[in-house]
Amino acid sequence: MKMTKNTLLLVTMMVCFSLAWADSDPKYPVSGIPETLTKGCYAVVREESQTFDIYAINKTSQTVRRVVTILNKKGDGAAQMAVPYDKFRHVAYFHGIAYDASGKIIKKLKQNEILDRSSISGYSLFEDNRIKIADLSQTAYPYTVEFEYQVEMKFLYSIPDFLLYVDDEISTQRSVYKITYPSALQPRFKTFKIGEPKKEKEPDGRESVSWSFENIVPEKFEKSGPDYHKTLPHILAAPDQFEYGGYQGRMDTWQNLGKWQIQLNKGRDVLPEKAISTIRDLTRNMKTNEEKIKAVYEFLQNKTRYVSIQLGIGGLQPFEAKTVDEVSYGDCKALSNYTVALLHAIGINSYYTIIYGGDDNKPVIPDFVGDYFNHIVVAVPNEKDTLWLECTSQTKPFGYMGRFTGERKALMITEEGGKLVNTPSYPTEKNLQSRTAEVYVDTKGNASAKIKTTYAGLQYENNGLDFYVNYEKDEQKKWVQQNTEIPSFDINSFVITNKKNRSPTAIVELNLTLNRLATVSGKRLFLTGNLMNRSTYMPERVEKRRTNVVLKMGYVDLDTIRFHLPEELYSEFLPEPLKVKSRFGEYEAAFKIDQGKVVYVRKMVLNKGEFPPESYNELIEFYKSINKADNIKLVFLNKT
Amino acid sequence: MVMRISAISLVACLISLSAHSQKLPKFGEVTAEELKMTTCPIDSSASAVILFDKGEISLDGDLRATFKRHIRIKILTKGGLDWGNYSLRLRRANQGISKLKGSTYNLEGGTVVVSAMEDKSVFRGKFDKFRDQVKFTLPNVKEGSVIEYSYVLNSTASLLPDWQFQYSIPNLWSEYAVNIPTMFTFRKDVRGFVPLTRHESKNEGDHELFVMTDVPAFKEEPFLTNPDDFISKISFYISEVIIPGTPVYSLIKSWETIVKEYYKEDSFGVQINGSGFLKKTVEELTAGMTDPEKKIEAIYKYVKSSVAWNSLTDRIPDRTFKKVLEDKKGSSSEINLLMVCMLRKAGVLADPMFLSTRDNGLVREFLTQVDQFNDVICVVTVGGKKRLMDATDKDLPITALPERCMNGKGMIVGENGPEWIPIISARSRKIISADLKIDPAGELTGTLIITGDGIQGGDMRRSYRELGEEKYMKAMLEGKSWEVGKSEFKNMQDPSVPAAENHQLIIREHAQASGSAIYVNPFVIDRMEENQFKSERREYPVDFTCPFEKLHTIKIAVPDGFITEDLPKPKLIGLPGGGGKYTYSVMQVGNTISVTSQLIINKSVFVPDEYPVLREFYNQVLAKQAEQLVLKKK
Repeated sequence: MKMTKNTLLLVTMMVCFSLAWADSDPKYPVSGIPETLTKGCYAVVREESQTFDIYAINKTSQTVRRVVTILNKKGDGAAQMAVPYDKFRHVAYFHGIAYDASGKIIKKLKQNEILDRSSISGYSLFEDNRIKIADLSQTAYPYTVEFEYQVEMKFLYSIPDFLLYVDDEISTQRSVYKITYPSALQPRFKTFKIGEPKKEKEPDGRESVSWSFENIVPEKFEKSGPDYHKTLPHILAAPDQFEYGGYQGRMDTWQNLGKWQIQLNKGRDVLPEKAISTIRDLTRNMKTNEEKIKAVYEFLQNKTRYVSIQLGIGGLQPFEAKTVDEVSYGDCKALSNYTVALLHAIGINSYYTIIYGGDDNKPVIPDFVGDYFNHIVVAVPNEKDTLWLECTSQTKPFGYMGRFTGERKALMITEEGGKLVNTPSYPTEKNLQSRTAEVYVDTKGNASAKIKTTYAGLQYENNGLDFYVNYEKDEQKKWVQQNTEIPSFDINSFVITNKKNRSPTAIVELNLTLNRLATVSGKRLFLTGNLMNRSTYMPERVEKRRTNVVLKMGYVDLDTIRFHLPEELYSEFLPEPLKVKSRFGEYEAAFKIDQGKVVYVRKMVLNKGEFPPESYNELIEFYKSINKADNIKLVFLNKT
Repeated sequence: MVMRISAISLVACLISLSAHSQKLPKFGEVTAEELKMTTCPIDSSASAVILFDKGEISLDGDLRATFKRHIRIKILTKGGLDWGNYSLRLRRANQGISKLKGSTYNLEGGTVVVSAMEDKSVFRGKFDKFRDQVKFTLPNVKEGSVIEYSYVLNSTASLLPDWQFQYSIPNLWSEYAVNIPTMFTFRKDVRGFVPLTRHESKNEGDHELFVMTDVPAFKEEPFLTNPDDFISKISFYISEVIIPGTPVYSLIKSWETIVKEYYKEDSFGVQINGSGFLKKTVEELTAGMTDPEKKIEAIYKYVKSSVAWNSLTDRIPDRTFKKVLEDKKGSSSEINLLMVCMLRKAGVLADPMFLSTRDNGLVREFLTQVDQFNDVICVVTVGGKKRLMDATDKDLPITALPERCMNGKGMIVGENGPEWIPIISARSRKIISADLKIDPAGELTGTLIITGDGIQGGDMRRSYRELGEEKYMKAMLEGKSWEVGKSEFKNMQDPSVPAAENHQLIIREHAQASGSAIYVNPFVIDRMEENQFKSERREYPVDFTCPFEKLHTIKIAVPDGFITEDLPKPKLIGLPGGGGKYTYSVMQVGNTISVTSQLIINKSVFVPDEYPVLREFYNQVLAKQAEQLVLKKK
C-alpha cells in the first residue's frame, strides 16, 4: 500500500479510534485470575510495577502502577493508595480507576476526590510532610482498582525497599521492580530469597536492574516466628553517593554515612553563655562523671518537653541547641543535640546516635549500609561501659533504654564518622517479676490479701507500667484494675513506688478484699493456689511448622502466696509439686502446708532465643503443662 | 430578644437570679497563688487544671461572628505538659485567626519569669481541602508553670460555635458570654452531667452569660455509648430572624411541620406513597395472603434479597426506588423506605422511623433539629402493636435491629405526625448445651451445641462468613486443650432461624482428677471468668446495647464406679425493677447430672445509681459459675 496523505490520516484515525475503544474494553476481568491465587486470599495483585529512576544525584523519581482485585470486604484496604510528599518531593501525577468483576470501568478517580492532608497531624506539631490519599473501595465484590502515580524528588537518599508481599492473604499475579541509574551512580542492592536481576541498558544510555515475578502465593505467616526480613522475599537498595537538601555524602560505609550527619549537625551545638555557666555550676561539686551525666540528664528532663517536629531535610537535621535552650522544647534530634552540647560544656564527651525506636525492634543489616532509623538517642562513654540517654522523655529512668531502644544496633556519630554499636541488652534473669502475698481466707471463701509485686528490668514496662508509675493516682488505679488478674476484687488501698535505676523497678503494693475468692460447694472449699499469675497463652496448633520459633523476651516470674486458713478446714487434695523443663524455660510449682498456712511457690523462666521449627510442638506441650498446673485447685473439707 | 430555653437551662436561669458576676484577670495578671499552687483544689490527682477559660462571641447583623478566647492553665505534673501544645482548625473560606498570643509563667527563685510565645512557635498550614490548621506551642512549659493564651476568631456567615465546659482535666471556671443582635433568636442545648453554675440574661437575651465552676475532669469509662453524649457543653441553633416591619421569620420548625414537609419531599413521602411500578411486585409477593404477618415477612425477605446494603446510613434516598432495585444496592434509607413503601402498598400500617446511630450520639427530643438523625428504619403496626424492622443487615432476623441503631429513642415519621418511641430489639440470645461423659481421668467427651439468636446470631454469622470455617474454628479453639472430631454449622446463611454450631469433641485439662475424686466445673465454655465491672464507682450510665440472655444446659454423665458426692445448690438472684435475673439449678437423674444456668439482662441501660447492685449481681453470678461438681470413687 502506498502511503498517501489520506491513508496516513486514515491510519492515524484508526489508531486513535482503537485507542479510544481500548479504554472501555474490559480490563483485568476476575476470570483472568488463576484459581491458585484466590484460595485463602482476600485480594490479588494483578499487575504491579515499581520503578525508581535515578537521573542525577539530586534528581530521582518513583513511578508506581498497581492493579489489585479485591475479592471481599477484608480486602478494601487494598483499594486505597496513599502518596506522601513534601517540599523535596512532588507528585507529578496520581490516577485511579475502578473496574467491576467483568473488567468494565465503574469509576475514574477525579482529582478533587483525592484527599490531601498533612501526614502525621495530631502527633506532630511542626511538620511539612503531606499525603495524598485516594479510596476506590466499592461495595460489590469482587472489583478491581488500578492506581498509577509518580513522585519526582530533588534528592537521592534512600531507595524504597521491595517486599514481594506484606500480607499472607494477598497473592500476586505479576510484579516488576526496577531501578534505573547512570553508571556513575550505581546503587547497591541486597536480595533475600530472590534471584539475580536482569541487567539492561536504557534507551538514554543509563543502566537498569530489574526483577520480575509471576503467580506468587504467599507463605502463611506464623505466630512467634522470625521477623519478616528473615522470612519474606525482599530487596534492599541504597545509593553509594547521595545528596539531600544540598548536602552531599556517601553511604558506602557506616563511617561515611555518619560523616554526612556531622555536616548536618555542624555549628548547631552552640549554647548561650548563661546555659553553659548554669550547667557548670550545677555539676561543679560532683565527683564522678556518672553523677554529672545524671545531673545533666535530670536538668534536661525538668527543663524541656518533647514536641514532634518534622521539618527540613527529611526530618534529619536537628534545630539548634540555643533554640532548645530558649524555648525548652524540641524533638528527638533537637533534644539529643542539646544534651550532647550540655555534656560538652562540662567536658564530657558524648555522641548523637541514630537508632530505630520501636518495640518491634526492626533490625539493621550490618553489611548493608542504609537508613534503617527513625529516632535519636545519646551515647555517653563512661569508664567501662556506655551510658545511654533517651532525651525525649521527662520521666524515663537515667540510663534505661528498655523495649523501645534496647538490644539493637545503632549508628553512633563519633568524631571520625559513624560507628555501628550495640545498645544495652536485658538478660532473662534481670527481667524479674517477683511477688509475695498474704491471703486470709474465711470458711465462706471470702478473703483479704496484702500483695507486693516488684517489676524489674523489661518487666518494668508490663502493660505500660513504666508510664503509669508517673501518672496520677486515679490513672494508676486503672492499671491496677486492668492488671490484677483475680476474677473479682475490691481495692482497699494501693501504692506504686517507682525506683529509677539503670535497670529500673516498680513496686506495686495492694490491699484487696476478695469476696468469694474460694468456692464453697457443700462441705468443700476450692481454692486456686495460683492467685493472680495464671498462664493462659496457648500456641495455636498447626499441621507443620515451617519457620523457627522466636521468643523475643526472656523473663522470670516468682510467686510466693501464703494462704492463712481457718482451723476448721483441712486439706482433702493437695497437688503434687510439678517441675517442667524444656529448651524454652523452666517451670516449678509446689504447695506446702506450714502451721495452718498453705504456701504456694511458683517459678517460671522463659528463655529468649530462636529455636528450630520442629520444636514447635514442644512449645505447645510446655504451655499445656503450665496452663494446667496454674489452674489446679486445692480442695479443703470443713470439719464442722 | 426572646430566648426559648431548654429545661436544663431554665433551672440554671432560676439559680442565676441570685448570682453575680466576677471579674476575671486580664492577660498577664498572674497571681502568686496560681504560681504556688501544687495540687488542684477539686481533684488531687489532676496533672493540670484549667484555672479559667473565658469565651465571648459577638454576632453582627450580617451574622459575622467575632469569638474571643482567653484560657489559663496550671501545669501540676509532667503528665500535664502536653497542655502547652494547642491545635486549632479553621474553615479556610470564612474563618481567620488574629491576636494570637501566649505566655508561660514560672516561679524561679522567688521571681516570676515570663516567657512569651514567639511567632516562630506558631505553625500555620493547610490541613485539607477546606480547612487550615494553626498549631502552636508555648515556651518553657514545665512542672509548676502557669500558661495562658488568647486569640480572636473572625468568621463570616457563621453559626455560633459550641462551648465546651468539660475537658480531661478539671476546669475551675468556665464562662461563655454571648452577644446577639435583637434580630436573631437562638435556642440552646446544654448537655452533659454537670449543671450550669450561673446563667445571666440581659436585655431580653441579647447578652447572655453561661458559667460553670469546679467542673470535674471527664474520665472515660467502659460500656459507654459515645463519650460525646456526656461531656458538658453548650450548642446554639438559630431559630428566628426578626426584622422590624416584617413578620418574624422562624427557622425552627416543630416536629409536626418537619414530618409534614418530609411527606412533600419527592424522594421521601412522594416516593413512598407513589412508586406505582411496585404495585405489581407487591401483588405477586402477597398473592393469596390475608395475614399481615405473612405479608410483612414476604416483603421483608424480598427487599433484603433484592438490595444489598452499601454501608451508608442516611435519612433520605439519593436515588429512586426503581434505580435502587436496578443497582441491587442502597443506603439504609433507600432500603428501609422501599420496604415502607411496599408494605403500605400491601395494606400494612408501616412508617419510617428516624434515629441517630450510636456513633452519632443521643438524640435530644426537645431540640427540633432534624440533622440529629442519621439513619432510618421501618416501624409496622399489627393489632395495635408496634414493631421495629430493618432490612440492611443480612445476618439478622426480622425481629432484631443492628447494634448501630440501639441508641435511646427514635421518631416515627407518621402520616399523622411524629411519635417518639424507645428503640427496642429482640433479646440477643446465646444458648450453650452440652451432653458430655466424664471418665475417671477427668476427660470429657460428647457434643456441644451453641445457638445464637438476635444480635448474637448475627455476630456468629458474620464471623463465620468473614473468617471461613477453618479460621472460625481456630479462633474458637484458641487457648483450649480441646480435640474437635466433627463440626456442623446450621443456618449460617438463613437469619430467620437461630444460627447453630454442633461439635463432637473431647475436652482435656478442664476437670481435676485425683484418683479417688473428680472435681469438675460444668461450664466447659463461656463461663464468666472475671467481673467486667472492676471499678467500685460509676459516673455515667452502663450501656449493654440491647437486652440479652445467656443460657447453659450442661449434662454430665458420671463414670461407672463413681458417685456424686456434692452438687452446687440452686440459686435465684434478681436485679431490682426486673432489670435482670440469674437462675442456677442442678438435677440428677440416674447417673446424669444436669446443670442449667440462665443469665438475663432485660434492659440495655443502667444508670450510675444502679451500678453497685449491678456489679454485685455480676459478682454473685461469677461466684456461682465457679462452683464445682464433686464425684467420688465408690
